[in-house]
Amino acid sequence: MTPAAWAFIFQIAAPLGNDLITRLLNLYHQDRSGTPVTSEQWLALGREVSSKTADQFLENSLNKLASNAPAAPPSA
Amino acid sequence: MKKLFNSICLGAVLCMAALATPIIVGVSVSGCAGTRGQEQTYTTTEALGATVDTASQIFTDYEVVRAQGALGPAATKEDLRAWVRSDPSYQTFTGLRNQFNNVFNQWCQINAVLATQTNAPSALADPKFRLAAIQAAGELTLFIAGIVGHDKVQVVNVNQP
Repeated sequence: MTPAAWAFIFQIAAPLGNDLITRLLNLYHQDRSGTPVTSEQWLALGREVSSKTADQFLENSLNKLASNAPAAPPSA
Repeated sequence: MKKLFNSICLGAVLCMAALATPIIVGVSVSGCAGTRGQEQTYTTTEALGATVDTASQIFTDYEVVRAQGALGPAATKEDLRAWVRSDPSYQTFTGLRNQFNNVFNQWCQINAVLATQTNAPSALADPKFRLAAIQAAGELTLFIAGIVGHDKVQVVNVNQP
């Protein structure tokens, strides 16, 4: 992929946030080092990021709440 | 096209800048009587700099605390889950998250096509291809602004006596 294409990608990706930007940078460095990013790598990134549903985030929040709750006092 | 793309990006940035007021979102999870559990505080600007996933997690953390405030500390996990799922804000979030997932996946598919082009700028020059990429970008930025916009809330502090 040409530098111009990457510049376009990063322009669009700017609001995605630090973690996703870092992942894109890794792909960019891979590409610049001579190993082209494959279509499958792009598709895999899309599948991975987009597979997280609202309910999965909700379960994370509920599990955090459960893990932070103090243990029940022992019964007398 | 470039002007259109720049306009969309500028609009999104201005929208996010307007949302990035120094409002603190405090999420305090209380345990049993008199105790305080984990407290996480995010500023809107931190959420903007974070990932879409972090913004999503902030939102559901907040929803769970709201549910606990509404139902009380004795609420079970199932009660909290049901309450959140019935909340209109969460339902809106679910729609937005699904939209992001679809758009992000489409964007990666666009990049997958680009990866097959030996001369990628020629693909970018294609009006349909470029328009699809611009549309995906616009939807992504608007979605993030919409999610982070939920951070404009009062500090929520559930600390049952």
